Amino acid sequence: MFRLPDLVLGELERDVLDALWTDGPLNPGGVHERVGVARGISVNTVSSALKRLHGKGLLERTKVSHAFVYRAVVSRAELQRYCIDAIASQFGDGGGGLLAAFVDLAEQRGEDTLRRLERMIADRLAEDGE
Amino acid sequence: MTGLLEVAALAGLVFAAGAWLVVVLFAPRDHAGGARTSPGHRLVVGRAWLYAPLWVPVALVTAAMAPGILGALVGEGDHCLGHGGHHHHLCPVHPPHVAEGELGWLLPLSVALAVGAIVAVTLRRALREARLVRALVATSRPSILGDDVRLLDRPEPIALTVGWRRRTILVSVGLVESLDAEALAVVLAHERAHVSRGDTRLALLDRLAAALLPRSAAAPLLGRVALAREQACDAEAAREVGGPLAVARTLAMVLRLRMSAPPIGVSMASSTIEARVVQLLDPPRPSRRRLALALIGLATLLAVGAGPLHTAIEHLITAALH
Repeated sequence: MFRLPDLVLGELERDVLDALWTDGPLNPGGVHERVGVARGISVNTVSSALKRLHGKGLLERTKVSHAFVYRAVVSRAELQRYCIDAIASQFGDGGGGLLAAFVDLAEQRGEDTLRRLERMIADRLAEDGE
Repeated sequence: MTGLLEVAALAGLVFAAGAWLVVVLFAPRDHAGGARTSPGHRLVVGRAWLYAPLWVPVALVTAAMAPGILGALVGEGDHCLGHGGHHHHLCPVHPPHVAEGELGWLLPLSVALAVGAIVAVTLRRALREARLVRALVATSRPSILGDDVRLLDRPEPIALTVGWRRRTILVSVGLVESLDAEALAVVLAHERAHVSRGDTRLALLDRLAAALLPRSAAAPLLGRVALAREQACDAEAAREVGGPLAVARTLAMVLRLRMSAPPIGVSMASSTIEARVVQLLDPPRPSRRRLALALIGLATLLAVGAGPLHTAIEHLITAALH
């Protein structure tokens, strides 16, 4: 889907992507209004960030009148899923060592096991209630 | 002192090779073994096995040097003088002469280079993962659950602690929307326990140590350490929020949510949830006997290092260097 260097985002790139995820397709002027004005940067700087994101394959663009309109190729949720999958497969064990997950991301016990655990917990709750 | 460094490096190498072999042949192979002992105890035991090729040679070389140092301090019973000058002394008081051959530095250097290469490959993967983690955090959103907690726009139940320097807790919208207030508090307390214990950093060190072992020995040890780490955080969460039953109930709730979501990545070899729930419902009693046994084992190892191993390694090194 993406190469890792494409996913290394600068702060401005991250904010630009955020704006496109939140507000949908925008031209450089629209993005500048949302992230550039508050930072005191020019439309050209915002345009450069848009071009970089386009070059990384994270945005696609269509020409409308004289300006490009940019939209995110993947949603925030899809990109997050891609990152989690990529992290989990780094060491070939679901990130069991490096990702401190509340529940192993690949954990899927059978229905029987889960019912047994739920029954054990319910029994203990009932004992404590008596 | 160059002679002493050569001899100490060679001795360390022999001890490290021995420890490595012992771990490969005898380290426990079941991921959830010793589940009836406390998580803290199992973390120490699991890491003692995992890091044995590193700490055992240091302990044995130090112990092996003890007779010479003690002899010099006490002023009598000088171990080295008793042996005469016919072999290389593993002793800072009576350092050996520089070896005639090149084996003294060539062998440790080649092993150090091989170890360095393995560590470099593992670090490269870890750095790649760190960049992916930064990308993941960059795409997350702030939450009202705390400055240290950020939201992932995923429907699956996900709660993670990521990062080595700046640690961040990531929870998915799917998890936040599905859990009640107590269960969510349990999840956050568990993840905050990972943060305060520095688990992501320790996990990186565990990875580096595991990279020096064959996968068949490393995977079960990493699995044991990971389970004990989760159980230690479960215990911490139980102290913070609602007790062990609340944590067990939350684990079952999250597992129930996971059942309806596709798995992410590859699962570890065995389930950790069952062992965690069982331990929460029936916690092990602290045992002083195990601590005493561990101390006796360590003392024996050091005594063997200072006694028979000391003499044996000196003769071996003399034979190798002449």
